[in-house]
Amino acid sequence: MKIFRWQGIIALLVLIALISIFFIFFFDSLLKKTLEKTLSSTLKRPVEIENVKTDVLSLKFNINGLQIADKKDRYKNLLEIKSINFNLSSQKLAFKKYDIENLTVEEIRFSTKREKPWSIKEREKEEKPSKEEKKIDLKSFKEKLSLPSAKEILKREKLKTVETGKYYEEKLKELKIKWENKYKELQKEKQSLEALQKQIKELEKKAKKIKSIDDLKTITENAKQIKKQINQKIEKIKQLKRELKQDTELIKKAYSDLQKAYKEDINRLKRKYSLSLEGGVNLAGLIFGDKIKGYLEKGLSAYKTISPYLKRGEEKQKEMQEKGYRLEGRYVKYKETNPYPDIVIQNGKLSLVAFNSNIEGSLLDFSDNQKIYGKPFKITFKSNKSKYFESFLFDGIFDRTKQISKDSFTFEIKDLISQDLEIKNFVRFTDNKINLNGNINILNEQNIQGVIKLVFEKTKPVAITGENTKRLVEKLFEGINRFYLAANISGIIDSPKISFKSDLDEMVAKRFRNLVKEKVQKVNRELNKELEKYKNQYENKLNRYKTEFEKYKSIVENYEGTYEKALKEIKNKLSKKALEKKLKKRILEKFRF
Amino acid sequence: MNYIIKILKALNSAQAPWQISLATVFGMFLGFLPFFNFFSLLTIILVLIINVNISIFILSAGVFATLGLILDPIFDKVGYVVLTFSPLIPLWTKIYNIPYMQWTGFNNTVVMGSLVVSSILAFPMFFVLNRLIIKYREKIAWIFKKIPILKGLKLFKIFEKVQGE
Repeated sequence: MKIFRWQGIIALLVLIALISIFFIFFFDSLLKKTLEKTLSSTLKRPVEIENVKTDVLSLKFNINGLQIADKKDRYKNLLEIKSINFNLSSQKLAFKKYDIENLTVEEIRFSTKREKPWSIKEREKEEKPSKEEKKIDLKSFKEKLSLPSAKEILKREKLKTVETGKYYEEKLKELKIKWENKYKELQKEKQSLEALQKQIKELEKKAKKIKSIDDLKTITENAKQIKKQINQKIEKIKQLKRELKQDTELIKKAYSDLQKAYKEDINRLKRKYSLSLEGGVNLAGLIFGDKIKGYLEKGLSAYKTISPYLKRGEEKQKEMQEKGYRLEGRYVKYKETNPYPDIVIQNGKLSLVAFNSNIEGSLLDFSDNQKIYGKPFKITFKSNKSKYFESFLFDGIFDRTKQISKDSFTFEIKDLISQDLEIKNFVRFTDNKINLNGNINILNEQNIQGVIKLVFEKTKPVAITGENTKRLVEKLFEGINRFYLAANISGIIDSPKISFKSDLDEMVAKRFRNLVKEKVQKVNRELNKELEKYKNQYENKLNRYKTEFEKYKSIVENYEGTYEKALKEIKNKLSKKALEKKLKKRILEKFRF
Repeated sequence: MNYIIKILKALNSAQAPWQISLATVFGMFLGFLPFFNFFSLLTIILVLIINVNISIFILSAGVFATLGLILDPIFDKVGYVVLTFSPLIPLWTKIYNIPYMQWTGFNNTVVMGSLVVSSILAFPMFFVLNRLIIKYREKIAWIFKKIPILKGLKLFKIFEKVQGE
């Protein structure tokens, strides 16, 4: 019985030959499919590769036409790479280490259009693009600028001027009726005055003919009676005068109160309908906030994708201690004689196509365990003058060599001619020339701190709102051709906080304040005018009452004067002394004859 | 039924008992080991070179692979204990640092566990099976040749098939 069989050796050789044929003919397409599947599941988005070419003996790999799809748009790629070339070190591969000495990545492009939409079966994973577009809330601007007209304000407001005017109008109407009645009474007084004047005249006649002591007594007595009556009348008139004065005072008070009410109304309404100038506008944040947030999110998403691979080697060790995997088992790592990371890319030559320009880049010391490799991973993109910018620089350092990782990214684009930036239904910035620079630091893969500054060296804002708000937007952006925007980033990478600062806000706020001021002044002017109309209306009424009352006063004073004159006449001509003198004279004249 | 016929055919064939026993042992190694592995490839090469019964090897591999699915957690534990057993660590470290040895996956807990369990079971299984085959051939195999009544039954066709060379 033979222990070995020669047929088996032939079968083995045939098997080796089959494997070789497989490698020659099918390995590339199998590797392509495996890479597509692995990358799709790792990046959680469809990944397609045009073809993969390998040279197993020299360990050379060439990946062409890599497309990483955009989950939000089936017709767009998030990233497209024309070709990736590298060769693995066989020496390191013997120890299961993937060491790439030179890597070449040609034509990296972001956000490219796909020739074909990505596979329909992936559709369920498609993320619906957010339909919610950030718009400038023009309503808030308009609201801030919307003051009712003076007429509307006066219609909806309870005016003290009107109340006061009405109050005094009522009061004065009553007084007018009262004085009309009194005036009628005074008309009666006229007869009584005439009767008294007649009596005085008669007495004077009698006095002229006075002959005896009896006549003197009679005339004196009568005069006394008349005097008494006149005094009573004068007293009555004086009373009327006092009353009239008192009532006239009410008109004066009405004038003063009306003026006071008018002033109060003006002040109150000005206060109530003044437009708040507080609370600045956050236009720059609104206009560019989403874009910057979007870029930052993309950047952080790329960072989060790359980050785990930079410490994969360290984590593999930890995974060993965790629960075993069914069918797969766990790999126990032992101390290596020459420790080396599992994956290393020593040098990389990259070419990025962005801003319609070709930007050369380099990659240095990528490893999945920097603590072993001892060098941080560096990536740089640099370009001199192109059609769209004066210079471009991006520097990224992923430093995991120490216990606390420190990653830093700096970038600077000078004189970037950017495409139009616009906020739907608000404003479009055209002819932009931007200087962009920034610095972002991430500590421990968690804490982010940084600043991105955009200086619009040249820009032209154009209002793109509806006709009724176009003028407002034009006024807000009038003459703005340069501004800056600084975005401060802090917090943690999963939810970074971004605060914006921009002189655009200050400029627009200033213009807005002026618009508000103009509007307020206009409404105030109208308000003054309208309120003055009310005031004048009541003042005119008061003037009429005043004239009436002055008429009454003159009548009363006239009566008073007439009575006083009569009384004076009585005092002069019909007093006991005057009558005695007259009698004496008469007697002397009589005796002279 | 075909599997039983194949087993009976092998048992009643002119092959030496060790060829069947060793095929079963190799089948156990391949069945217990994870699907694609350096050690499984080595087993296949050995099976091709050493003159063992290939049918029994395939059958055995299938049976032990099914069993291996259930026993994987045990292999994982055994492998982990062996790979982290302090006195053995210098040995493993030495092997680990030999070029291409990491590709063998010897440091995988399931691989090591299944190798250890298979190796422990290999010798007793080989000798027990050898003994059983000999006993079978002495005491049972003649029944298929001698009892005429069996020829009249439906089993006759099976009998014809399992007669061997």
